[in-house]
Amino acid sequence: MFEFLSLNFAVAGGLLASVPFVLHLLRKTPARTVPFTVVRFLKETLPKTTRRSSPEHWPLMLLRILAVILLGMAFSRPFQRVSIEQDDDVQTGQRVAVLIDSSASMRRDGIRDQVLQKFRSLADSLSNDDVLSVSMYSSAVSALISAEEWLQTPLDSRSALLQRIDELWDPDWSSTETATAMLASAEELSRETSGSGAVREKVLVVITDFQNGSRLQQLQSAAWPENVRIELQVVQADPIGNAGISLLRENNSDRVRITNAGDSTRSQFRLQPFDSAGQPLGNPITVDIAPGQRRTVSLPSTGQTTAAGVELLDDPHPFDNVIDLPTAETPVRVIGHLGSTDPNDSDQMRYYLQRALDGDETLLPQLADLQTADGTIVPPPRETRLIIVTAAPSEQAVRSLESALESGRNLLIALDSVEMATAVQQLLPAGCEVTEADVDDYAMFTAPDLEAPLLRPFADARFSDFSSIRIWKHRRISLAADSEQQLRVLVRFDSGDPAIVEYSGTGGGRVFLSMTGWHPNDSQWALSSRFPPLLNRLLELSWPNESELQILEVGSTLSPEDFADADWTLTRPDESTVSADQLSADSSEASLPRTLVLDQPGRWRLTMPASTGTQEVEFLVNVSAAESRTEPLPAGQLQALGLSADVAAIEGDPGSTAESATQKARLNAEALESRQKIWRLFLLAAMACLIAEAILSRRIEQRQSIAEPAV
Amino acid sequence: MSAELMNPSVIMAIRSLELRARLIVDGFRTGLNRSNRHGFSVEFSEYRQYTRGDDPRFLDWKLFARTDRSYIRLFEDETNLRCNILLDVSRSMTFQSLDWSKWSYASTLAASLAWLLNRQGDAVGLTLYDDHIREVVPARYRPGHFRRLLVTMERAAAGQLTDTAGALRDAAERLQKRGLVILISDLLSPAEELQDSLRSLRGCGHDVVVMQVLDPAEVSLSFSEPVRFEDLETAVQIHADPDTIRADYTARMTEHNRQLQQECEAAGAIFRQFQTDQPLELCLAEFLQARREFR
Repeated sequence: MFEFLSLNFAVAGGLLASVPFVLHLLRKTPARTVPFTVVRFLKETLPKTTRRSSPEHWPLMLLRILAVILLGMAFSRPFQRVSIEQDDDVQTGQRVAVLIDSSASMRRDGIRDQVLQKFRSLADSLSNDDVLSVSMYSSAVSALISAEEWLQTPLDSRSALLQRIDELWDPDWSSTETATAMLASAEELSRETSGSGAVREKVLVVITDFQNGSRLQQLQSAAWPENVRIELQVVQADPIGNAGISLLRENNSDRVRITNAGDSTRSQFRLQPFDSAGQPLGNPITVDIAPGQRRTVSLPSTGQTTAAGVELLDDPHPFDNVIDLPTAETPVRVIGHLGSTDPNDSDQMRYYLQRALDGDETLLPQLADLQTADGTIVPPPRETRLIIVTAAPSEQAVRSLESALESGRNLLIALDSVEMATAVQQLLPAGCEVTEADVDDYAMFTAPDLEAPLLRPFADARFSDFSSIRIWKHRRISLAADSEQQLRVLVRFDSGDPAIVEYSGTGGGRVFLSMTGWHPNDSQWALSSRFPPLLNRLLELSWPNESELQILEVGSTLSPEDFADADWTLTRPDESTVSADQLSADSSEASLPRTLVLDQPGRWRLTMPASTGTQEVEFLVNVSAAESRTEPLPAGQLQALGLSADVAAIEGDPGSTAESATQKARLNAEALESRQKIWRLFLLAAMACLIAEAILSRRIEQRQSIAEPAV
Repeated sequence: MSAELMNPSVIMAIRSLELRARLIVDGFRTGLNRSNRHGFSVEFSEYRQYTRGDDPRFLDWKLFARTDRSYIRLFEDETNLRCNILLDVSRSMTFQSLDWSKWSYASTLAASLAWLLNRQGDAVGLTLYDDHIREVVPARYRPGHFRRLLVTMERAAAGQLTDTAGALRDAAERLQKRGLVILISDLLSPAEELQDSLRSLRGCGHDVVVMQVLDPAEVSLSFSEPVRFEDLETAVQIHADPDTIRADYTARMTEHNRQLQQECEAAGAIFRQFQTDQPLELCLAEFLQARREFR
């Protein structure tokens, strides 16, 4: 017999089934008026009563009643409670895969004991035939005990194997990617074939705090393997509740966002800035946030001393209560310019340079003319690290440029004529000769060296096409045979001549030499969408440390070679270091990009050699804000995402055991109903009834219309 | 002959009244003697080669001068039959249980009769009436007259009440020359009303043929469930269960038709009843049979 998940619909269907019966008994007074000719020959009869003792068109009525009943039963989600027959002849062990959450939120008090306790009780319930594997997950999955290891371990040694979990499982600082981990494990479990006989059931046990920031959305769109059952075991921190802090950086001003979890019992917290030695700076400020709410606050002023970080006080779980702050403000980037001083002359390169730089809102560059209108040369400001030359400089200016190059500054020289090349001859590669090129119609940029630091942002195939830029005039440079090794041709013209070359200056600064200008007289380069990003990249290369200050989350990956060529050292927040050599030794594939996972919150520092000594790039790595949302998700969340799960009762939950037993029975019934899908049969039968009803009623109607003339 | 009769549904599906009439008459005449009687009159018909015995007055001398051959000029014989068709256009004629109404059937019948008579060279007139005379086309025999009759019938709008006796009285007063009067109507008004007018028409020397056109549903009351009947002309409504009153109704209708026939026979008129599902050729045959009875 069938059982129903929503019996109400079946009852409603039964009640509604009487409606067709009553309707077929009723016979309304004819409302139809028929025009006729000899009404005087007709004898008036009284309208018939509205009730009949027997229903009219009983096959039609039966079909309608049946359709209503079947629809009601389909909506009531029927299922058959069947027991799974077990074959005693084959091995009936379970394949159990355990996933233990090791995200930052699992660092809260009281959780570790619960995790280990739940794992032990799970291990105790295993039979000798069962196969176990244990993994832990946060932003990635890592195996603790593999199934092969379990099978190879003798029965009497397995308890020792399980003891390893106490040591191996340790929460990290990463965010929780529960859906990704579950899907990956379930897929692996589903594909796995048992090596030693049949497996009765494949179970994925997830031990987690099932916090709000668990990122389960992916489960909704993914197909869950049918042969894998989920068992969710939820642990809860003691005390419950949590508040977290994260850094927001907008327009060079620092603000922090405080998130109070929905199950938090507190609503008042304090913010305490501290210095680089960890000593409190000034008095803390009090912040009120209701449970489940977020609030963004500006940091309190700390006087002369710069705050190295800020800590959230009065929160019972401190794992997400400290963030580091940027120690230095981003300096103003002053770019020296040597050439036309008229900012409004659209025939000059300065006009386009100014507009391209004005659009850069993140680096906020400023253009400073190094030559006044009367020709006086001004020494470059101290903070200038890039000088752009767009017209032939005077001898004095060339000397100034040479000294700038010696002090490590970068130069961009755009040759707009052969005369200019003659003027800056000292700055050009030795032995080169510059002549005016003979351009037929127009020339194009080709063969960009996308490995070069300047053009690396264009490495993506979508951005690497420079051929749309048309060049009317350019200069041709003949390089000395031995100078090819000292310089790098970044882009060539379609004639094969170098268009942009990069080489080291006398003092360590880099020179980028363009053989054409970006003003209308020479090319359409300034109008191209490649021009502003190229300038931006030039700025990034000239101010590497400030420009790369980044605020990242734990779990982010870092490729140090984006910042330094070969020799670098990365210092972790705990002062341990990783160098380029160590990473090369660890990396099995030399060709693969070498990346590091930022696995700790705090201040990471990338140190690299520079012309001025060493340069340092700072990365502020914080715990993911999602980890602060620690309120547990409702037990039915997996069902809401389309999965069935046997959810263990949350310990400490006021819900009684009886309630949880009822809930479990309900979930089992739902799982059976979901698997059997008997409602589809009922729906099909109802549709068949309705089709038959339509055909039958059509025939009756036709019969009546034949018997009754149409007037 | 009945096997060759055309199904009325085929005929009535044709929109053109003229085409319907020609189709019916041509089909009806197939196999009959179709020789046209030629006489000598004012209406020229065609030439025929002179043979001995022909009246030399009718030789065409101009043609003889041009061709050197003798031809006799033939003329349409003068007609002496004047036929007037009285057609009922009252609202009751719009009733239909088939795909066509009584009016469509009656007008097709009238057009067929007109075409039949026209081809015989008789003059045909038409009178449309409901509770008064709506339109009169005098009996003529001339080119274009048949088309005029058709146009008159095609543009006729449904009228209101019926006064057949009044129409017959009007015809008796109006028709000076003796001739044939064909009345086409459903004749659902009381039969006794017709008696005097029929007799006065006969008194004027007219031959009268009464053709009653009824819908099959009017004869058998073929409705299956109780409905509210509304009179087309008077808008009177009554509830009736056809199953209950069918026997009574058919008895009344039979009695009414019997009285009609009696009245017609008493007045010397010929009565014929047609139902709209009958082939129209049958009506023509009945008409010719009625004509023979007059002779």
